[in-house]
Amino acid sequence: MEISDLRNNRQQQQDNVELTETCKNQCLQYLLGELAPDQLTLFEERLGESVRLADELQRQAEMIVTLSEVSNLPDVTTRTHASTTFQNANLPSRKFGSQKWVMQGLVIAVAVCIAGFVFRTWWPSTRPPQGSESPNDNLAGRVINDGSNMTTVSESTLIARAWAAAQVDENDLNITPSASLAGTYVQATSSSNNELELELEATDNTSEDSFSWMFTAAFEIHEMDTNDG
Amino acid sequence: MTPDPSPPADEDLTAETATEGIARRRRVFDETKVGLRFFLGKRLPQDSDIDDCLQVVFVKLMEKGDDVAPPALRSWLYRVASNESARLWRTKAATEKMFQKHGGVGTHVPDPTIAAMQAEATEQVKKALKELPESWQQIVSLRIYENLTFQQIADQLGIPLGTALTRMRRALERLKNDLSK
Repeated sequence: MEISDLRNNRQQQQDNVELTETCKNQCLQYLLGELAPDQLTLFEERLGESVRLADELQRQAEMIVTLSEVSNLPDVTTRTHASTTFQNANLPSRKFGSQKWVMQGLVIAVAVCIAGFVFRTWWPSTRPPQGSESPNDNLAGRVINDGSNMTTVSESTLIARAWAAAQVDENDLNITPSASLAGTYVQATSSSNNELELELEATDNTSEDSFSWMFTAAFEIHEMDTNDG
Repeated sequence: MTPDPSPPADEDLTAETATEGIARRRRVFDETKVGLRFFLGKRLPQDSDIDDCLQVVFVKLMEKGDDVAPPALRSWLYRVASNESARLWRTKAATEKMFQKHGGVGTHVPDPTIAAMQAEATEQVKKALKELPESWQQIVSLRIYENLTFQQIADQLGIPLGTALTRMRRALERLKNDLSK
């Protein structure tokens, strides 16, 4: 008998094993080594009896090997990770990472503010004296030294006022000796109506001055000008 | 007082790993041998052919089995057995003998296009995988690439074991259909 005849006869054999969904699932379990030992023997016996089962096994085996040869599937695995247990584990670290960056930025901002404040506080006192004490120096000094009436004014405001007074003096503003600096009361006899603009123009040439300082100082000048009772 | 044993060198670790790999492959073959024999019994008419085929499968397992992903090792054995049985059929065919006589088919000629074809096939598989429903992709990924058992997958996803098995099987069927188009 020819081999081809044998093959045809084999293929024409009546398959007495019905290929149910359970059988197909068992093929899968068998190929992946998950079939229970008691089911394993039975399955192998059926495998020797059924061509259809053997063909199903072969098809599944082929596809499993094909899939295993595609080793790099980032999208699938990433999505799987994200949708299963790893998602919850990753979320806190990502959240913590963003918080860390925010905190670092905040710390840097605070440090810059402190450095700027210290620089502004100490810079006038470290400048070498230039001749006689000018009226604006007196103004600043009086502002700072008049502690009894400064209880409601913040330290930054005092510094801003001192800086503003210096700027006003530079624009030939005559401040009367009797100008009271108690609290916020200042008399400027010849302050122009455009002090705010002058301040802004004067400070535009100083690149190192921050906008907030200019704004505070301008506000203080305007306050000194208008708060005349 | 005995001195502490020195840590194993890299070469020792490599040799140990290789030994473990051989032992693992042999164990898988022993576990699969009976099934393979039944499987081949439906494809090859003579027991001697089945023995020859099993011998070839074992040799190939020892040669290349280390390159196969562990979850797919048993499937790989069946594929080798299937291919080998087909090769035996061809070898016994008269036409094959004629080609072999003229040195046409039997000789192995390195083909530079094989790598390109394999790369293309890989891309096709990836593309087909992406077109599967996401729940099916999930099962395939967890089983083949994460090497979780179906029971672990079912527990992790909160689905019945039968559902996990069916999704995997449907995914394989869909992939086969898509790739054969």
